Amino acid sequence: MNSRGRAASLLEDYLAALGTADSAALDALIGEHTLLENPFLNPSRLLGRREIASAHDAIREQIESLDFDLDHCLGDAVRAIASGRLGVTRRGEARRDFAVGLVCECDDRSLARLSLYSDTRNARRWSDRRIL
Amino acid sequence: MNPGEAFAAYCAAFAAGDAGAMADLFTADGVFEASSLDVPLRGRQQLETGLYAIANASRDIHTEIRLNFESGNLGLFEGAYLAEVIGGGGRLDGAPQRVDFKFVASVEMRDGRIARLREIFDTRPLHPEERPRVFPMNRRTPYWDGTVAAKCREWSVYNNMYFPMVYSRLPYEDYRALLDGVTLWDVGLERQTQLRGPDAQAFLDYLCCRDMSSMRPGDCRYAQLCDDRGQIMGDPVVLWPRDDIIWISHGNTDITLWARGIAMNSDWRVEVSEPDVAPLQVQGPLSLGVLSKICAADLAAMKNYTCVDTEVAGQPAAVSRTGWSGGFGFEVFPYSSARAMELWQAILDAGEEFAIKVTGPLVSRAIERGVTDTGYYNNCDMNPLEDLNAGLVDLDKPADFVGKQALLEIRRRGVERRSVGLLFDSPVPRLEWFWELKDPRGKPGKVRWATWSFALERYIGIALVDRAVDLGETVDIVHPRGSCRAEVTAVPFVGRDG
Repeated sequence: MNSRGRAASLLEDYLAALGTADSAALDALIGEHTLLENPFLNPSRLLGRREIASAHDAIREQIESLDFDLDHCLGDAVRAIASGRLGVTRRGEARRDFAVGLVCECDDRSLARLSLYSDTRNARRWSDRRIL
Repeated sequence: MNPGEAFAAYCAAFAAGDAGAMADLFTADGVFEASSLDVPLRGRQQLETGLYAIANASRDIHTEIRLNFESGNLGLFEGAYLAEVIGGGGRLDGAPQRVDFKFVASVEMRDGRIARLREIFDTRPLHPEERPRVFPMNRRTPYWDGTVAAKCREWSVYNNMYFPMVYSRLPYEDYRALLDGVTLWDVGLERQTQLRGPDAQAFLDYLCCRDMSSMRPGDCRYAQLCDDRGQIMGDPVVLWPRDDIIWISHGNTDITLWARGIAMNSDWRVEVSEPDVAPLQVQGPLSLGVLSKICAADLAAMKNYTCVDTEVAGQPAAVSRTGWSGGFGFEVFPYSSARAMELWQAILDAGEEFAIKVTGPLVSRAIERGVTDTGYYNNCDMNPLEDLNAGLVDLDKPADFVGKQALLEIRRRGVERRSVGLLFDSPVPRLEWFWELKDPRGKPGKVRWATWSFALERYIGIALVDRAVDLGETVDIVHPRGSCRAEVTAVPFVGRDG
């Protein structure tokens, strides 16, 4: 981590909550107008509490573990960019590692946008059921 | 230079296709990583070569930086990259193939230069086609697992085998690798019709309309085979790797079935079979360096269209100075496919220092060089006197051959058509079946090949036209996306080094 700011802290909080499947912590970070972009999900663009909570539920069903290891993170009070690696273990499968980029924007209360960048080609998505 | 200035300069040089300017931005040991690359580019030479191929694989390139943060020697960027792929064949609806994606990039600087540039993005939307489900009506080559691991995404069917054609790179990247580096092709679907026995050479001569009687062990020779009506069955390369083995290494026609049918119940003392021989092509100027590391024979001493009986990676194999690239390269024919993936991996390992790339055959380069492939199933009733290689037909050779009487009659009546090159005046889609053509006198013809030429920077083709059509004349073509005109020209379009 290179430079901390409120946005970077929120991003870290989100990644930690996702890794521990902490529903309450995740819900606290998501607002009515939060945009989540995650190519491991289908659809990959989700908007608002209901859609994103449904995605988090789907992830919990299928994913045994998720952990992020960020090597860089720069940001200010409202925006942050990070890069690093993501390890994913689906239930019953071997762990796979991916290079990831992350961008987040936040407002006064929650994340306004969280975009995850990764090459998902030849990677099974995190949920096979309909999220929406 | 700070990270933001360096990344802006990099984007500008990329859009201009200026690999030297891009490489100049990096430290001597600089590293470039991207989701679309199998391995990072390291050091000045790899950066310049690799970035040249990537940047020049697309046109109309726009990069937009939408968010950035910098701190000391580190810069992080979010942006969008928009570009049109050159030579990609286009989409079925006629739209050009595009690579548009958003990305995150990190730039790490050292002494005012880029020490590491990493671009992270999702390549799934760039290659939306999953590997198609395949059924066992067709055979797999023994290198199947290797081609899937190398991210093949489009297959054809050839000799009832899956033919890996297009991998997950931009066409120009593969083109540059073939012209400047080295490429490995799975052509295990090129089947060998093996002839053995005291009449093997005479029987070969009977099958071919080129004189094969002067061939000797160690020779290779391009040949054409006809049916009894004088229509082309195929245009294989014949190899004589061992004293008692002749191979007709044929294209997409079952020459073994044809030859066995002719030999059956005849007086020919010949055994015809299809051995378990699945070749690989190692093509490009660095192919000698790769194969010399793992081949027992002195490949540097080999002349074009010769072959040698040797070992490659400890496996008995024939190696020939042949290939479908129209340039320098080799084909490796292991005498058994029992250890095929070991051979595949050994070539990849030997090629690592040469940045070897697994590719399909490069149609663009083949057509530029006038290298085609004619098969009975799709030859459109063409006889060899109408083909680009008509000059190799020897109707005066002493021996009889299949189709000789028919071809003599065609020659007596006058050959009606000939093969010519085309320079299209506008973009054309990928050729998936022959297109109709009309010459200036209203006579019909067929466009049999069409592709983007990276060398000429325009679309080119090869057509069968009326004999009266002269070079420089203009013909009208109807293709699935509309119509266009093309100037008739000579083939090949470019020289060996062009």
